[in-house]
Amino acid sequence: MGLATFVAPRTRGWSGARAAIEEYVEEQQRHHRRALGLGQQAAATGEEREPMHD
Amino acid sequence: MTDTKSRYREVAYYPGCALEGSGHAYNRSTRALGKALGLKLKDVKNWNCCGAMEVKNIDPKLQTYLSSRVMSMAANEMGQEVVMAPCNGCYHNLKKAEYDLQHDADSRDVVGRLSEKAGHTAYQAGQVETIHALDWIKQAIGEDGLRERVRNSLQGMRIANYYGCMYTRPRHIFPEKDSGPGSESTSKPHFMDDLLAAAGAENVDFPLKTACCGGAHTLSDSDTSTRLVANILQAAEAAGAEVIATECPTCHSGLEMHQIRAEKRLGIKTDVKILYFTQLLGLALGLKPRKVGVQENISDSMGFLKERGLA
Repeated sequence: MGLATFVAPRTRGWSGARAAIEEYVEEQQRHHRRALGLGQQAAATGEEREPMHD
Repeated sequence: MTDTKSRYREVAYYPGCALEGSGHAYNRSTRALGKALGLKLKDVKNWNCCGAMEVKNIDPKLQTYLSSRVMSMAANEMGQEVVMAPCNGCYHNLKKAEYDLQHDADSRDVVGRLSEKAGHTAYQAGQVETIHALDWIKQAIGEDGLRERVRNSLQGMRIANYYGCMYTRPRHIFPEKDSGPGSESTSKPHFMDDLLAAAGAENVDFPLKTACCGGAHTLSDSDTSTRLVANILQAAEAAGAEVIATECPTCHSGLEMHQIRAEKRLGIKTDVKILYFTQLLGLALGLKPRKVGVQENISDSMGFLKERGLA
């Protein structure tokens, strides 16, 4: 178990999936904020959320 | 029957994140058991997390994508027809993704879009069959096959078989269960009972086979998890069990850790041993305890296994 902590396999070529997931999450957040009326409020006050980064 | 056995003799193996860490003994014993039985496991190429609880609770469609990517790797990169996931969480999530992709157009749309952007072929429902480690042994070897191979019978060992909640619930994502003679039951699962009985064990009548161990709340509400586990441990002992056999890494580590915590916090002491069913079957086939990772368990069962001539 100890060794696995350090040498556990990592998913290769994940950058494409990460970018797709981040785009989807941002899209969902915009959708939710609009549904809650927060998007208009944020736009009016210039406080639109910044996109997620690692 | 021969066709069924050959279908499951070589399967894509999806260990999942838990089996690379806290559930490593399950990983070790599953691989050792497969080797001892002449079965072939081909690791899913470049696998990723199934989405577990964390992603699923925030965005179920994102979990569907993550699980579908694993199945896509197995089907489209490896040409495999069967994916075996020993972890209840992974098994459950892959089955849920399969169900969603069959029945929900929005899920298909999200998976299609994300897969295209990620640069891999989108998984299509029906490309692979997802099975649990219990299905794998049951279908590829069966009880008769196990009986023929047992070298150290588990005779006289009283076992409570604990399946946890995600192996059978929700029922609709497991269409092959409750489908007639020989199929697994969602209300009274028996595959683990069948396999361990074939290895000589005496299965006790255990009423909490599918009770929740509180695994998802073990960090946020440890006291609740401890109480749920204490119930399971006490019920197993009341049923006369010396061992609880497990088939899920989250349940297994939860039972082990909360057994200690139940004694410290609640004054509830139990002596029942906790072992993966793959460890018990491996021992019955004559494998040494180290080969099946008994030393990696938190629950110390070496003395007990020595008494039984299994170590």
